[in-house]
Amino acid sequence: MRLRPLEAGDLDVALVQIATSFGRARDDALAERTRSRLADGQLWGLEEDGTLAGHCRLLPGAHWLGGRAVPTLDVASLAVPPEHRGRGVASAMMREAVTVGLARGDGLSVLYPSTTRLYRRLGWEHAGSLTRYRVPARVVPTPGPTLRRGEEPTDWPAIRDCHTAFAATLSGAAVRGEERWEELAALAHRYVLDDPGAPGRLEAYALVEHEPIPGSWQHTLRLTDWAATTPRGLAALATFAGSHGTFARDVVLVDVAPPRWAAVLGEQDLDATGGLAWMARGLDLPVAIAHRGFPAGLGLAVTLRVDDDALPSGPWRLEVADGRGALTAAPGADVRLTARAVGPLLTGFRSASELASLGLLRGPGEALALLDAAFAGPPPVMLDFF
Amino acid sequence: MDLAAFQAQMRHLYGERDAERGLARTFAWFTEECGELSRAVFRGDDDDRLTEFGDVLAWLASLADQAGVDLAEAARRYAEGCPRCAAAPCACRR
Repeated sequence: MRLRPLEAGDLDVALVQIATSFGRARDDALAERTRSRLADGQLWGLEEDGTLAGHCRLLPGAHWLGGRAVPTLDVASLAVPPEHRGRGVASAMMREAVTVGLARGDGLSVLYPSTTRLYRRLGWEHAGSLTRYRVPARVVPTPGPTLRRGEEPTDWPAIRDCHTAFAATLSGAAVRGEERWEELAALAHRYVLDDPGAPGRLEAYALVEHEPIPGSWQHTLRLTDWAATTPRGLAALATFAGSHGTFARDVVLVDVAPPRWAAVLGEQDLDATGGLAWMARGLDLPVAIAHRGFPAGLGLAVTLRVDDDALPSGPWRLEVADGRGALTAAPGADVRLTARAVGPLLTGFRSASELASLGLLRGPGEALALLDAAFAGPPPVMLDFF
Repeated sequence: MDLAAFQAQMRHLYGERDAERGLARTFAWFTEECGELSRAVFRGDDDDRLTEFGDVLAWLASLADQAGVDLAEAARRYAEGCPRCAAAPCACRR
């Protein structure tokens, strides 16, 4: 069995596998998107005796951790058609994907699991969330600055800059790829708040969709994408949402956890309506550590090793100083991590002490406390699904 | 065979097909071959290693060709010594 990039001649098989795996009807848009992803080298298939037993999408990604972008192998759309199920095709694909990620120099692999068990067996573990919230539009307060329609030619690059400034402050958010930006660019309604102190810069934006409610004269206001880099920006977004109180029943949006919007609403009206866990797995750990940001002003050193058959696993000395980290070879290790501990530790989803209490890591209390401090940060979240 | 001749041979053998494949997918194949090299180095025998080093070199040459890079010229970066300290052998502190 061999995981290889799909070729143009594999397109039809891939489309059949998408249809039979995900229940997606084949249409022109799907075919075009698949063709484009294939041409971009994102689609990889497991070949077995000349047959494509399944395929998946391996995206060259990056995620913000500690204010810096860590190169990642993002895995999506893993399709194994019914006739190839039950033989370990998905597991084999993911084992090979680890090798691909290592060869590419990716620090971590990130995915949204369709099933936790499969990925957990292979070293991925829950490492963050994506949470959707709903708030009745009429309860959102309205005394704030007003957004304007973002239709100027300079608004789109300013929106992208605003998103990047916002996402970089979050832990786990993906560095947004062009395919997602193209989807968002197709939305008809953009609203922005100018930064009066910096011409051409925005303090907030919202890309919105209006979703009819069947049998009702009202609609749902969907903030499909938004960002606010200042308190004034967040207040403006709340004002914008509240101004829809007549015709929009609810406003739905993705926010961090705990949600920032809760800080500008009067009561506890923001309900989490759906959440997805995402998982991460360590790949090239010296790369992950070198690219990740660490708390400024913190200086420490801990020795560790990872029990991971698939990867170089130490022992290493982790040194953190001046907001940066480095992993270098060491003669021994105080802390031993299972492969599954790496993802949640590196994203800050679980502290070393918590991972120890879950049996995923072990070491002396003093070393665990140092790791707790090194990887402390906001709860990791993603804003986009892939 | 020197590097320039090797790159020309790869262009002759696969240039047209690889150009159709495009840079992104050629790079994907290059990483696939690096994965095979990793298996050959750590888990394979001498024959496996010889084959996989050859395959990685072939995809590297193809990648360089598509990216408009002359591999022989790229190699000259190391011709006089270490590119960072200029010494041969390298005298950089580890």
